[in-house]
Amino acid sequence: MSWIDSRIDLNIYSQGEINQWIYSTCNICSIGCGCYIAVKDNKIVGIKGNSEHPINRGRLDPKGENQWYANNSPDRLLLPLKRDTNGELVETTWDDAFTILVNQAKRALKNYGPNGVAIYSTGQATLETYYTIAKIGRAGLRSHLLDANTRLCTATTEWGLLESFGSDGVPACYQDIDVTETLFLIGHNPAETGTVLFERIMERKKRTGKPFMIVVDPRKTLTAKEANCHLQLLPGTNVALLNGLIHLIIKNNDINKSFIKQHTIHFNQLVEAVQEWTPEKTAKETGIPVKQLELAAEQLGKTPSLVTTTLQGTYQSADATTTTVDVNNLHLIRGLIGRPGCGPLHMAGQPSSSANRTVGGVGSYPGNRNPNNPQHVKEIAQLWNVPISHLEVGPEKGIEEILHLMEEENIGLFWNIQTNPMVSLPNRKRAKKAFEKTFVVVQDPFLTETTEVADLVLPPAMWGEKDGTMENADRTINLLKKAIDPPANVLPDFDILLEFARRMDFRDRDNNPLISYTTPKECFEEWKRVSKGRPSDMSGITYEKLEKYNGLQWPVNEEHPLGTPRLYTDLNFHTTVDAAQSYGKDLFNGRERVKEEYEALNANGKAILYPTIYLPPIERPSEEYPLWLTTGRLVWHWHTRTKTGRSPALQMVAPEGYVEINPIDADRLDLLPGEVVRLISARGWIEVPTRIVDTVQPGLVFVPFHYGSWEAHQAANEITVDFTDPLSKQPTFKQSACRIEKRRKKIKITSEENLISVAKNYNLTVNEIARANKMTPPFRSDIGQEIEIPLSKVNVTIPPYMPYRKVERYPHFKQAKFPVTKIDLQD
Amino acid sequence: MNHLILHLKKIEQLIQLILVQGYTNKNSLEIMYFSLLREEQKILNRLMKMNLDSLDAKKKLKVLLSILYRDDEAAEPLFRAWLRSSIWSPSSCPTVIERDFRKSMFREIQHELKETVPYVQQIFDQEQSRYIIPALLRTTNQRLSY
Repeated sequence: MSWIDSRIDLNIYSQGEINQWIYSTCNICSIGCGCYIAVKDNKIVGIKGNSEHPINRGRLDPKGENQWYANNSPDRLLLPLKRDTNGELVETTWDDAFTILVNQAKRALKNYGPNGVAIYSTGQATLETYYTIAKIGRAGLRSHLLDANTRLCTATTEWGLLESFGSDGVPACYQDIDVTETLFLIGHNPAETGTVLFERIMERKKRTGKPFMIVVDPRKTLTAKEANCHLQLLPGTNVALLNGLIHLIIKNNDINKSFIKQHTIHFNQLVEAVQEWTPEKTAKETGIPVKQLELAAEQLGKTPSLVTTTLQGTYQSADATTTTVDVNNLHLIRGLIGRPGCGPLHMAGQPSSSANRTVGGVGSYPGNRNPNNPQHVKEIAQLWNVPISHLEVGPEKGIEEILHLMEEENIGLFWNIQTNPMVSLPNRKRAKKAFEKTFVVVQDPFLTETTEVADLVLPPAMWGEKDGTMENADRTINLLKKAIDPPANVLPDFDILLEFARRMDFRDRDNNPLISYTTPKECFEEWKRVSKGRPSDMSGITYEKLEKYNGLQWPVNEEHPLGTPRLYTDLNFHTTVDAAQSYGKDLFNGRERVKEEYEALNANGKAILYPTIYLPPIERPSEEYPLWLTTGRLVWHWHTRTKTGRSPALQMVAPEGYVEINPIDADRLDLLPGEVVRLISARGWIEVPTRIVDTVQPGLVFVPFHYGSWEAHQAANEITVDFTDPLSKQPTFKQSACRIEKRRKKIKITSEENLISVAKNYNLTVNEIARANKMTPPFRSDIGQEIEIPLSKVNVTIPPYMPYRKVERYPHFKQAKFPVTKIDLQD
Repeated sequence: MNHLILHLKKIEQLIQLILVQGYTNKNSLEIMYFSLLREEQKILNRLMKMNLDSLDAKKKLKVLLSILYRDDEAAEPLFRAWLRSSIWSPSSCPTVIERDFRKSMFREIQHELKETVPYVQQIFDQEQSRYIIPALLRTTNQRLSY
C-alpha cells in the first residue's frame, strides 16, 4: 500500500488570498507528482502537492516546489528574436519569425531533401506537442530525423524493453515497489533525482524494514547510504556485475525452470555466456569482494518478489542497453515479472520523456509500431490519410548521428524545442561547431547557451500556461491544466507547431489540412484513435477521467477502463513478428535485425533471453589522464538550470559547479577543500572548486552537469566523451578520463614575512598553506623559501534534501566530512 | 545485376583490406565494428555465390542485402567514434597513416554502397526497397519542393 498518510507540501509567495488553485502535474522529474498551481491576478504565485494523487499524496520535491518562479522571471523572452546581419539577436514579430522559419524549411527540403530538416525536442513538453511533432515531422516534412533530449535520458529504457519483450512500456510500476520484498537499484539515485519516490520507499522501510535494498553505484550516494547492501563497483562494470550475479543464481539453482521453459527462449545461450563469470572473475573486474557478491546473489536468488530500477548510472554508462537486458534476464530466469511486487522498472529521467517515445516525437513510430513492418507503416498512413511513401521507414537516428549530418553540412534546418543542448550534449565543443554549420531555430522561454548559436529564437509558453498531458516513468498519464495565459506574444509549443503546419500548407490525401485539430484536447482525441489496439492504448482516457482518478496507467481501454498498473500479467509478450515494435538489434554491436532473422528466433509471445557480453568503457584512465570522470545531478537543480537557476532558493543553495574528489586523491595532490582546480580531458578543460568527500571512490571524480555557461568554464560537458551505446545511441556521460591540475602561484618568503602573514594576505589559514605545500609541523618559513598559493578557493556547501532524516535540524554533511586537516575541525 | 555484383565485389575487397590490417588498439569500438565488417564480408561472399536462377533467389537477395546495409549502418557511427577515441588516446592509438587508411576505406565503402542503390531499386520496387536500403543512403539526393 502506498503512503500511510498525506502531507501537502506548499510553496506560495503572495500578498493576500490567492484567486484559485488549478489542477496540474509537476513538470520536473519523471515521478509524476500531482499538484495544484496557485493563481492570483493571472500570475502563478505558488504550488501545492495534490494530497489525493496516489503517486505523491501531496508531497513535492524541492525542484518541484520551486519550479514556478521561472514563470515570473523578469528575463523571459516576450518576442521572437532573429539574428541580424551584424550577428546580433534582435526582436521581431511572430509573423516575421514564422516567415523566416517556413522559408528556411522549404529551402532545406529543396536543397537537402526530406532528411535535411531535423527536429530535436524535449522530455518536458506535453504528449500532444510530441504527437504533433511526430505527425508534422513524418507526414509533413517527411523526415525521420526526429529526436529529443530523451536520447540523453531514456533511450536505453526503450531499447532494453524492445529487445526482451518486443515493445516499449515498463512492466512494473510504483505500486510494485510498495509491496516488493527486494528492491534492486542499479545506477539509480532517487534520493536526489526523484525524492518523492525515495521518500515513499523509505516511509515503508522505516515502518516495516522492507524492502531489502541493494544499490549498485560507484558513488556512495544518499540512496546507497540507506541500502542494506551497497555494491560500490568500479566505473563501467555493470554488465560484469550482473553476469556474475546471474552466474551465481544459476549455479545456486535459484531459477524458475518451468517459467523459463514456458515463457522464454534462449536460456541455454545465457547459461553459456555467464559460465565464465565466476565470483572471482567478477570481483576482479568490478572491485566488489566475492563475499558481497555472494550475499547479493543469495538475496536476489531467494527473494519471492523483486523490483529492479535503473536510471542514468545504467543508461549513460558503457554497455547501457546490455545492462537493462541483463536486468530483464534476471527477472525472467527467476520468473519475477507480471505479478505484484515483481518486474523491471526501467525509469525515465524527465516528466514526459516516456510520452515522447510512446507517440513518436523521437523518431519512434506512434503507438509502439514497428518502422520496419510495412503493415504498421500502412496503418499510420491510413490513420493520417497520407500516401505510405511519405512516411520514412527504419529506426530513429540519435542526436549524435544528426550532429554528424550537420558536420557534413547535410542539414538545412535544425529545430530545437525546449532543450539546451549546448550544455547537455557531451563534448559540447564538437556540438557547437556542428550547430554553427546549419540554420538553428531555438524555441525556449529564455536566452540560453543554445540561443547563442541560434539564427531564430521563438519564445514558448511554460508549465502552467498550457493544457495537455504527460506520461511519467510508470506509464501514468497525468493531466496539466492551463492556470494562466502565457505572456502577450508568447505561444505554446503546440500552437507554434500548428501555425507552422498551416503556413507550410501540409495536406492529407484528400487535400485537407494535415493537422485538423486545433486544441490539445482535440489532438488527444486523435491520438486515442492512433493508439487504439496497440500496447499503449489510451482509447479509454479522457481529460476528465485523468482529473477524476488522478492519472491512469496505459493501456486504458474498454477492457481496462481504469488503466493497467502492471504489464504482462498474462505472460504473453509482444514478440510475435506481427506485434513486435522492433525486430531488435544485435546486442553486441547494434546491427538492426531483419524480419526474417526475428522470425527465425521463434519467440512467438515468449520473452527473449540474451547472452550478454561485457565490453569495458572505451575511454579509461591512462598515464596522461589518470582519473575516472563521472557526471550527474544534484537534488537542487534540474538539467541546465534554465528553470531551477531562476528560483532564488535553489540557486542560493547550489550556485555553482564543483568537483568531488576522494580524500586519498586530494591528499596525494595536496588539494585544499574548496580549492579551484582545472580538470582536463582530451576534449577541453573546466575550472571548479573541490569538495573532498568519500562519496566518490579513490581514482574517481564527480562533476554535476548543470552548470554550463560559456564564460564560467564549469560545464562538465566540455570534457566528457561523446561515445554512444550502439543500440540506444545514448551517450556515455558516466565514463571519461581526466586529470587534475592545480591553479596556483609560487611566491618566495621575504624577510618581512612569515607563514602567518602570508596566510593572512591570501585569506588562507596556516594549516591550509601547510597542507597545500605538504609541510609537516613545526611549520617553518625560511627566507627565500618558495611556496605555492592556490589562486582561488570557494566554500562549497551543498546540503542534502531528505525530509525523513530531518536534515534541516541535523545536517550530516560538511565540506569535508573527514578530518583531512585541522581546518576541517575548525567549524 | 552484373553491375550490382561488381560493386559488391569492390566492397568485399575494401573490407578485406581493413580486416587484413587487423586490430590496432582493440578497444571496444574497434571490436564492435570489426564484428560488423566480418559479418558484411560473409554476407558479401554469400551474395556473390548466390544462384540467381533459383526460385527463392529474390527473397534471399532481399534478406542478404538488408543485412549488408544494416551492417554498414551500424558500423559507420562506431567507426567514427573509434576515430575520435584514437585521437584522444595517443598512447594506445593507431598511427595517423593507419587512421587515414581506414577512413578512406570506409569512405569508399560508403560510396560503393550508394552506387548499389539504383540497381537494388531496379530489382525490387520502390516500396520494397525502402525496407532494404536505409533512409540516409536512399534519400541523399532526393530533393523536395514545397
